[in-house]
Amino acid sequence: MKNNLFIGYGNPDRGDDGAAYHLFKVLLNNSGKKDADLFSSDTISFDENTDIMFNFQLLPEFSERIAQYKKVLFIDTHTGTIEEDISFQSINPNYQHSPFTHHFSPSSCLAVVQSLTGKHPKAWLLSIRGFQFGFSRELSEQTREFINQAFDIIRGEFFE
Amino acid sequence: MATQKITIEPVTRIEGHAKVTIHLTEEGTVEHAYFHVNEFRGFEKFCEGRMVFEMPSITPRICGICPVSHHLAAAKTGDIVMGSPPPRTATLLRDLMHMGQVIQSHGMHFFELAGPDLILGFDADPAIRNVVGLVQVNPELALKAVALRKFGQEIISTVGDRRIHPTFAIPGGVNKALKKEDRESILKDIDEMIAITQTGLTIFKDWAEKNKEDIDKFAVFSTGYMGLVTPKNSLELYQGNIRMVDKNGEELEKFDSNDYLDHIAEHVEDWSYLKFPYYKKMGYPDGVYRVGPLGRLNNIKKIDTPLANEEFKTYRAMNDGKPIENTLHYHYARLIEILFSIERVKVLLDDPDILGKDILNTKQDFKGEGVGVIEAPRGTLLHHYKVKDNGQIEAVNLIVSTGHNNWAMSEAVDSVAKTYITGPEIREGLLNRVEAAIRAHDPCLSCSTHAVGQMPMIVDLFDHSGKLIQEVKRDF
Repeated sequence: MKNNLFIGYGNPDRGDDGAAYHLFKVLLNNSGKKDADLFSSDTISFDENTDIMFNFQLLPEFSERIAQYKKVLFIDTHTGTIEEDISFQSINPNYQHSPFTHHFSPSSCLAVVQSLTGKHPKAWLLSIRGFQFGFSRELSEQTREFINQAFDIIRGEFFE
Repeated sequence: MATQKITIEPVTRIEGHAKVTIHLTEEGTVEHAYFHVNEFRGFEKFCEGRMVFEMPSITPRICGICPVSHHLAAAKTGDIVMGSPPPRTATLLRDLMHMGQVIQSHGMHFFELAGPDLILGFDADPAIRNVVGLVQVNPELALKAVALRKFGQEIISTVGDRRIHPTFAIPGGVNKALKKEDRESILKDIDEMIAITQTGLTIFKDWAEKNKEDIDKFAVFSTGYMGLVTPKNSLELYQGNIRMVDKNGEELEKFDSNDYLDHIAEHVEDWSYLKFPYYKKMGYPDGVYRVGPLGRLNNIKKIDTPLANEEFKTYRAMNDGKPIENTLHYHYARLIEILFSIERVKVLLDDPDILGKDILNTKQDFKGEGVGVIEAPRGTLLHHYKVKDNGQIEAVNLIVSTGHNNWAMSEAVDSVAKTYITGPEIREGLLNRVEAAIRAHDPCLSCSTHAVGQMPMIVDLFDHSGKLIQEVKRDF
């Protein structure tokens, strides 16, 4: 089993909500895997140490897969309540309640892993500020610029 | 009479797509509570100018929660627009994929959203009243819940090849036949999944027995009901005609989906972006109705699979065969539908035609307009397209499941608030009941977006002059 799992999530058809998708595209293009299908049902082997998976949203059953890795990086978009334009922070198990609907956070994922297995991988959340979330497959100008900075963070933290 | 206002508002990046406001009198009783949907939907406009054959790929992107329902509703609409009815094998395969969606969605709702309230209690500490708390209390059950949801997801990915952005269903049929080994792979888990669902039913019924008093005063009200049915008025989730019954279960209408505008109209309130559909002949609000699991089971006479039908008889016996009006019984109805869907998977896989290779009708008799309907997990989903001769979409109308239930959710919130809340100091457990009144309907208010850094819940109390007198922020 590999060490690292990168999980990106968001909706590529809702503008900046798809930042993780676009970041993965940059990662894959830079490693000569531009044809990899991020919408497939399986994880994508990025290199000998790292797998990638992308989805619309996090789901409880991902906990089974997450438990198999030593390090997990969640990648998402964020809005106003986080100050930085690009935020990279370690996260711990902490269940986050969703009052009305099916929302599942990275910390909640880890909490389920911890509860089911008694341990959890080291985990981080890399999030990129988003500005527009209308029906569009394009990133806003600002978020597009942040993608390259986020790429540098991943390279520094996981590949050097 | 002077009033105070309490607001329950999950703040998301879509500018707070829904919130609840509770208006209190000076005496602290609830004057009225509202469920507002603040989301502006622009998706119909987004679809204009696209090609009709693209719609099964485009519309699942409305929502990350039930993409398969939109995928299949769009394909069914495309069948009608293009005048290209799918071969039987394609219909069976679409139905199979749909059952996977219902199983995974209902499974997640019962075990992960509603289950903690039921198993741990509405008044339990919110820090543990969640799926993690459930794991701690009953790890075996939590693992079963994960297995059930995974079973549904794997049906979707086995049939359609992709977990998200499915390309499987297209106007006239599907683009992939089922392999024999895939059929066997799904079949081998059926008995285990039925057993898991029966465990859920036992949990619910035990809880219902102990909490009958709560169930009987928690958002109990009369409405009509609507859903798809078979020709003999059995439960149907994929095809068939739309049936509407009144509050006593008497049939009001049964009609082809293409005629929906003759029977359904939408009312607008100035406090919500979401419209309020109703049965035209009875007007608004007399003609409001409910959809989804409770609506469907109140709208049928039987279920065509044996285990689910036995449970259905018990369900309907609770009110002497008349419709069940208790909002909390949405959960019971949802579990019965999981049972039906698993049994239905077996029925579909046992049909020899499921392995057929005739999966696409390439003959077309272009109609230019069509309405496709499907019973999404949370209720009836209608897609209506008008298409130019060149196949380009001219107009789109979508009535989504959560829209049909809009009045019922508002009424449930109002009823629960009036029943449980007194005074400006409100315990968390009581607020949780208000949320639970909405959760029971399993609404889908999201647009496939989610939030990092969201503030999970804010309760604002205003006095009668509009001055903020208290803000409570829940940290989870």
